[in-house]
Amino acid sequence: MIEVRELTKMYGSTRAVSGLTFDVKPGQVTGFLGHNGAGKSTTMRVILGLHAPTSGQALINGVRKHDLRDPMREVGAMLDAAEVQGGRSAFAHLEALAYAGGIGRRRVVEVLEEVGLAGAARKRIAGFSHGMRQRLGIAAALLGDPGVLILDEPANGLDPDGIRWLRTLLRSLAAEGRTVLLSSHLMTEMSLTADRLIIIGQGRLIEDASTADLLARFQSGVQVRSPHAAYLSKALRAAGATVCPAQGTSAGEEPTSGRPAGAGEELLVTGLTRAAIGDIALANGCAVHELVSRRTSLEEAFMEITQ
Amino acid sequence: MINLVASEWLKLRSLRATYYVLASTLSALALTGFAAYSISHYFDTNGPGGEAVGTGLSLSADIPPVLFGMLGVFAISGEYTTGMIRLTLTTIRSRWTLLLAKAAVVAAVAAVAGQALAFATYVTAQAVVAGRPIGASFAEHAALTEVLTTGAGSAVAAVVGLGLATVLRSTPGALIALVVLLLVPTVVERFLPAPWNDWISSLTIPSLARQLAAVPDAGAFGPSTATVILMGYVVVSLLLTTVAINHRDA
Repeated sequence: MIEVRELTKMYGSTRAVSGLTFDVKPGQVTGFLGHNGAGKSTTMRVILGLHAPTSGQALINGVRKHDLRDPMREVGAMLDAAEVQGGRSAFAHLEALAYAGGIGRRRVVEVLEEVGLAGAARKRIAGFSHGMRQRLGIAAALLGDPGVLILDEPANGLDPDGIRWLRTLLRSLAAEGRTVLLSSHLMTEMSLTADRLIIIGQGRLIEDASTADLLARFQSGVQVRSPHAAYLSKALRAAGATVCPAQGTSAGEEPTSGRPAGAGEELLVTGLTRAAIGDIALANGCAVHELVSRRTSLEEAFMEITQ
Repeated sequence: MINLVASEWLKLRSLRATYYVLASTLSALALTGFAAYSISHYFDTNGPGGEAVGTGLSLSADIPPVLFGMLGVFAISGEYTTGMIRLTLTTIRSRWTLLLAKAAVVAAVAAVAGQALAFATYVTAQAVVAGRPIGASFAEHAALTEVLTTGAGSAVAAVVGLGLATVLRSTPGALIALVVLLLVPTVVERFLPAPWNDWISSLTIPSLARQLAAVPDAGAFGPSTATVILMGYVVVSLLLTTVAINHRDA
């Protein structure tokens, strides 16, 4: 459990975080979203006791980080996987961290296996790829088998296999009842991994909602393609729908141009179900070549929310 | 605390800079050997009346504090320059115990290595002198104690280096500050009137180590004052370091 209460952090006269309040609950993956400079990393650093809040507070399991009796076993963090001393082997790096928390070598071996670095354990970190460093950072966070995990962009640099592995790992950690807070700019990945989303902008809370609710709010209708688009749209409007040409819809959709001639115009219909649209088309004798729910991607929703 | 010491000991052992610094201390042996050789040569050609080699420690005494100070610098400056200090700090309870653990480890390593180096320096000097009456023996007054207090000076230098690196959070900055702090007194004393010159030169770590051993003409202070001043170096370093690490965002 992480509680952030009226948190404000100033750096000189720059306000990095401003009156931020949210909870990160156990048993689910919470995504932390915001543009660069929105205050995500600052918030994470304050939660971890690295930076002192200007006002307000951030609590881990009900207390400030400094007051955790056995920090490694309560909270694990990965802030920036590049922040390691390259001269050490992966094993020595983790071993030194483990010893500080009274954790033995067996656990070091375990986490190295868990993140898939067992084969590179004795190699110097300086020779590691970006993805390997990410895995090492995640291994360090897992060392104390903590109930709270705070990960700043853990998916960066991971290959598709690695991203899928990370998603499975984070979901299973949350399923075990742990609190998982992760930030990422990879929106598709975030929509697959996070149960809940906290979105901040310019240091303020913009959105705190479940991923499903957030996406449902931006559910924007049904895409219809018909050679009788003009006629059909009249009929649909008469039935109470809002209809607009679906040109320039969204990233990820097939472009309208380049279609074979006579393929029909696309319409974006809101206010009616697919079934209702189909029935109206049939009743009006309009052919329909395509009838699909158009799901708003998290990326679109995020862009709209943070504008 | 024991856990932190184990952790810091492992960190120091797995840092290549540690070995470079320890290897560099052999330069003190080379310098003493060379100086003892030229003094012996002078004795052979001109007879007695010139400079004596003694234990040989004072011939290269400026080197170990600088190098063991660097050992202290590297024990934390790498964590600051890479940012690993943030990861380290998330894993521990209180920051000052981290510094105490680091200080204990670098001081212990510097004391042991510094002591070994002091004995090696003594042996090298006596081997070069080869029985000429310009050397020293442990039977003489203060010769053994002079060797035995050298390790303490090295340990103090290591803690000072650690303190400078923690306050400055930069490897080059700390190295420059270390060299300035350790070597400037020996330069400045030449331009100061008595008794200031004597006091300033008596404040350097090699000089304090000799005063600690009550070596004749080693400086302005006796063993007890020298002890207090050496402890003062440690206490001031640790205090500044603790204030710096506790009151700054990492």
